[in-house]
Amino acid sequence: MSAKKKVLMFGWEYPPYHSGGLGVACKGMAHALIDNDVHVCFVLPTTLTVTDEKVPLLFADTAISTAKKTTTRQSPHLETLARELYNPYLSSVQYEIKLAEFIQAGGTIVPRTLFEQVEHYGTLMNILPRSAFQGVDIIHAHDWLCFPAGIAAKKITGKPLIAHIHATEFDRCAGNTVNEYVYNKEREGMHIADHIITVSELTKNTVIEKYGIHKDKITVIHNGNTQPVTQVSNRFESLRGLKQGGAKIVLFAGRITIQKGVDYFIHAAQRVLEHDKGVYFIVAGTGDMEEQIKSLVKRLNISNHFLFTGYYTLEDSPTLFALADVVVVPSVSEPFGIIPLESMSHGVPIILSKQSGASEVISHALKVDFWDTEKIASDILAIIHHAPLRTTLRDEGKHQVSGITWDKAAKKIKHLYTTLS
Amino acid sequence: MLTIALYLKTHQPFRIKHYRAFDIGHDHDYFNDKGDGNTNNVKILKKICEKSYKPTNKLLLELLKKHPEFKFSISLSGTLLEQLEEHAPATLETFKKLIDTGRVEVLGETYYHSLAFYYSLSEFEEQVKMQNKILKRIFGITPKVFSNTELAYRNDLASWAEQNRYKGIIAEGWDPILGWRSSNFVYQPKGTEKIKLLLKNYRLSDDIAFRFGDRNWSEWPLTAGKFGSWVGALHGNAETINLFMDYETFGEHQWESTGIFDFLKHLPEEILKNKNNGFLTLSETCKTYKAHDTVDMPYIVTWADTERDLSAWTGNAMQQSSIAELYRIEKQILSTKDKKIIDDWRKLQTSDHVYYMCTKWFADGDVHKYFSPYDSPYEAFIAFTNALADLKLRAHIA
Repeated sequence: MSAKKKVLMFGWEYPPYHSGGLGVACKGMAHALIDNDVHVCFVLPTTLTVTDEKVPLLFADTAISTAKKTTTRQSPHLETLARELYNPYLSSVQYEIKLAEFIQAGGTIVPRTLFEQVEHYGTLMNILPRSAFQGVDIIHAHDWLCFPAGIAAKKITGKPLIAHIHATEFDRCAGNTVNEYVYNKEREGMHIADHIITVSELTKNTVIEKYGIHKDKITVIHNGNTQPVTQVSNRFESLRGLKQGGAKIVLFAGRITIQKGVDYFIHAAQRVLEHDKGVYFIVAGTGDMEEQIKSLVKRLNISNHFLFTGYYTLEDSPTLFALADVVVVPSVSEPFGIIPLESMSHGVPIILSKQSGASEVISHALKVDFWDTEKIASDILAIIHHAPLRTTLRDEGKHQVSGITWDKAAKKIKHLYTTLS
Repeated sequence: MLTIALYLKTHQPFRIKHYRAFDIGHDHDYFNDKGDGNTNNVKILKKICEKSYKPTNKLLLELLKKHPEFKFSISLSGTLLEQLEEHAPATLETFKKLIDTGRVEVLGETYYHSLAFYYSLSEFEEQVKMQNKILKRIFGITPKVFSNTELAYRNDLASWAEQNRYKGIIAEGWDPILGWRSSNFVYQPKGTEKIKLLLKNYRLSDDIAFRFGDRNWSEWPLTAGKFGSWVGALHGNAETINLFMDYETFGEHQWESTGIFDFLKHLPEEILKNKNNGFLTLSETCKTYKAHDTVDMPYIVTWADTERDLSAWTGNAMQQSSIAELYRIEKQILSTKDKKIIDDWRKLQTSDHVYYMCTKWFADGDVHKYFSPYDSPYEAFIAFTNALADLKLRAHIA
């Protein structure tokens, strides 16, 4: 038996502060690795009031480790602003705006752009106490935001670097022009890394085709399902009336961005409403396409059947999903996707884009091409009108998702650690 | 004497195209997919003719000519015969040639390859009548042995067959039901007096039908010689070896590249090497041997999966509701007296449609998945349910 592996894992965000799946995935993975007898130290770029009962967190900017004690560095207001700065889904323009607010509120930060922030994360490695790197066997960095930090840590320790790809720039841009800087950072990280983990075969292909990485350097490890939260908010309780009145509810949950295909959801909704006026559509989440989508709904004259919830938290999820008769995930390009597993755990049938990594591990779903709004609409009507279809999707889905665990993913990751170090 | 009763069962359904909710009320042709997909029935039929029926029939005809002792039995569902007549008449001729030798017996069944016996006796009887009619018209024969869809058997089916003057009926030779009895003898169904029961020897049958091309199987490669020696080893403890399998075993389930045709080519000579071996049709088998004992099957037994029950057709809520709805509307459909409506309704009764909705295939291996033209059981349910909804509109059923 080899000794317990020590992993220095680089992340960018951590629950409960999240605006997407990256932090949730990192936490699920770190917990499962620790349960599988791996020593994980999880590094974050900036000091926040986050604690984790199981995973020691290390804040790179202050070298404070939660393994010792928890501190709050900033005022709560600054804390919020700092958190928003570290939203991995900000465009560089949005980052500039958030940064201005942060500095105006008295925040001090050296880097001025998202890109500088990413570089800064790497630079911080040189001023971290050497003890942070002691006994480390593996460096594990999540997405391009953490690659400079991961590369620096690899240089310092001489230990193998794993680049974990949760999304590429091609997914975020969904066919539009990619950001050259981000692409280069991703490419650099992937090439310097000793090994790459992708969250799906779909992403593996992107990494091979768009980044010139050899297939043998890549291991596909699908994400696991995160356990449902125990704390539940009552934010959507008021909508229960609608449902009790016989209305059918179709849910889109996630960031309102081009990547998530929300516009296809709207067009499918229009088609459904031509055939059934008793259907209501919820769009839960925020994003840069929000205004565009709202005006599309207005233009199509179906606003009466739409509800935009705005930002929702993990605690809001259970009631949100309990309302839904069906969840639609029409992603244009989704390396994995957290919503499908979440829906299935809540017993809600899903209509899932074939262009999503989760589709590789889920068979109990209705699968569509994201652009095929006719089929999406037909499938929505089928689920809404036929209880046996709902029942079977619910029962089989729940059963299947219970087998898609972080424990399984962690065992594969652990095995990879062993082969690399 | 030890005889082989080889029975090849063939059937093709009318697969439902990807019929969407928006087609309801507009499109009344459910089975006419002309695309590249797997619900294009004409395309599938032609593929199977080339891969399986034509080469198999050619080989079987040669074997019949070469070995005067060689005999076997077949069945062809009405839905297959209908499609062959329309789209592959030349292949249908090759079946006729086999039957014209007088050494190939054709079994009786339901025209629509349905499970109607368990849901509506009158509908079942109508479909058997239709099947007898088409067999008489095309082949000029009247079946003497009955083979129900998927070998779905129960005591009362045997009683029905006896009342309807069949000499024999077939079922799966499933050990938990047979107990100490062997499938290699002829039996009497419980509650009957004259009719004989022939039970499938599933081990030897499945060695050919399922395991033949499996390179991980300890007996791979299976040669006709080896198979002949297994049969020989049963002498003294067997009268009939009932080898029941899908016709499509040859060339479709087991591809030509597995050597399946070569196996078949040498099977009769390997069996006949032993002078005490022979071949019989199923009705000859019934006539030749006395019933050894009574077999009681109060619950439905099929030849499917490890459970040998109907769960592949009726296991989940989608399947149960589809079947229930189909037979719920029987009276109203029939009262329309509209031939097209009634025919479409019967085509929807073909058991394949609910089989495609089976969700247990993840645990049960790839058998179901392989046979489904849909991406998932859910797609199968949606196509079926939407088509049925349209049919109900046509028949003015609420």
